[in-house]
Amino acid sequence: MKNSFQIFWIIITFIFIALYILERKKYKILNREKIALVQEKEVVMCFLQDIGEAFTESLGLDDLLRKIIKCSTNLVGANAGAIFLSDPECKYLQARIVEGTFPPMTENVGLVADKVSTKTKYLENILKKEKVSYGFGVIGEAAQKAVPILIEDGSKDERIPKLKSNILGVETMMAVPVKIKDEVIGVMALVNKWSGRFSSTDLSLFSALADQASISINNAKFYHALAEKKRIDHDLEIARDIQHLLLPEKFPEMKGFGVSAFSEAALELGGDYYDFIEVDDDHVGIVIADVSGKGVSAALMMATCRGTLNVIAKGNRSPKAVLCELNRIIFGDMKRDMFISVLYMVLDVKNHCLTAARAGHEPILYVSKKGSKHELIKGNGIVVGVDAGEIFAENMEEVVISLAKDDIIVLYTDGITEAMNAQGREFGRENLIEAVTVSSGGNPGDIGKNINGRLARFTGGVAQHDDMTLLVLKRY
Amino acid sequence: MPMCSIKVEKIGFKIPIFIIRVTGSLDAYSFPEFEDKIRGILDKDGINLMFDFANLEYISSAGLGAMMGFAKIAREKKGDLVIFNPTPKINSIINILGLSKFIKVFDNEKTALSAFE
Repeated sequence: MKNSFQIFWIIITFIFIALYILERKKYKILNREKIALVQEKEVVMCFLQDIGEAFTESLGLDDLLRKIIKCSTNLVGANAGAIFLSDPECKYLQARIVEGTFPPMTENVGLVADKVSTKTKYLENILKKEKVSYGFGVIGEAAQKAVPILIEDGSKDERIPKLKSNILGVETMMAVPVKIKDEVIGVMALVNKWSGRFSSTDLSLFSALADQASISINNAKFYHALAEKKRIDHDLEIARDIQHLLLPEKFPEMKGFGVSAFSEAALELGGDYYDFIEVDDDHVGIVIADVSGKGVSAALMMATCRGTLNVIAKGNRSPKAVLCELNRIIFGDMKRDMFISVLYMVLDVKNHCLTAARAGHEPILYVSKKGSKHELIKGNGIVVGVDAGEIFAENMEEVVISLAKDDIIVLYTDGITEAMNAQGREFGRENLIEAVTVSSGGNPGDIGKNINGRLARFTGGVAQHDDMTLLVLKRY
Repeated sequence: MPMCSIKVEKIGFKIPIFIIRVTGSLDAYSFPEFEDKIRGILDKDGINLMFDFANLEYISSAGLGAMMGFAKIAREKKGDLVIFNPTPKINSIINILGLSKFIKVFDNEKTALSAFE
């Protein structure tokens, strides 16, 4: 009885000792993990501090990526590292930044690289030219599957390219995807460790670094895009100022006539313009034009059209001849999906006579008899830029209008008649005609203001999609 | 914002003809997609195009410029491009610009087809 009691106590003591040893082991493991996590946290904090400094130093994406991969190789203890970025269509990846002697990731390039294995810079250039398809090798797989990959022993892994050079051998490797909102934008990779092989702890740390790096890359891209937008805005502002200079600063002196005009672009740059050209002592050329499309391309074509017309119109009293010459000269410079509607008139100031030709432009609005009569004058004509010359000339008609006292001529672009209100209704020619006839007793400035006022009331502040240009001429 | 949609039908065996029915508004917003689709047809599928504009409410000058460009490409490849059934407003714009001298405009599908016979 006494013996069995002693055996019982011995067993109990052993169990307690065994439990104590187990708990002690568990504690040691947990403590190691805790230390590793604290170290990882410290490393990540250190990394963030370095990247933060990189941000204040420079916002260039390459500078930032270089800092990221340099920090990563140092913190994980790797021999070499590289950042691969995806093409916009996510079909392949290309090394953007390389740190240390990073081997090529495809065997084809590797054959060349073997010969120059020790020249790090040459190797970097080879790596940067190499296109790694999505799904191919370690880098391609990390991008396609969007998962971190750890290769502890490179000699046993088929995804590692087999190169002849020992210096370029991959003993151990890690590749982690760089993601922005679940979209893989690239892959960060580290090759070979200072001592030993990469472990799951290293992979966890590297993944944490990649997550932080992706935020920094996203920010850098955002700042880069913002800076680029600011630069373009600045360029557009200068271009807009230049375009304003192309419009007449003041109207020409035309004895017995008054004139008013305005031009407003829908975007920063427009394709509409109006101008006055001194043909000779008694004749003034008056032009209104509208280039198809909007923005920079339309503005460039508008400047070409204006410059050409200014040269050829001097001394030529025939609008048809001038427009045919304009079309002949600029036809070859125009894209095949672009055209310009031009209305060109030559005013004989002495004889109060107007000769006009219409290259596909909106008809002339002619208001006479103190506003009681109006007419839309549509001579035949084709827009500039769609035919090299023959058909253009054949279809161009010249119209002569004799202007009596108080007669009004209104030229406009389709942006005026097609101006829309919130209900999707267009201002239309009828509203334009009414605006002119009711204010026909006033001077051209009053008539222009009345049209503008009615337009503003009609559209009610709705942003317009087309440029608007208007010119009013009145005989006193 | 009025959008634009296009429906493409292929007819004819010996000479394939593509009827492109355009609905909505061809403006700065819808224009790039329209241009890509038509260029795709001209590059890969066929060079005889018939545009049904019955349900096209608006076309910008850039859109008409693109139509001129398509017509030139089609003719360079010995094909053609015609428009049928445009609204009175779009017909008037085509006439004012003088583009009817370069692109044939028909009242209906049947007469438009005759252009390819």
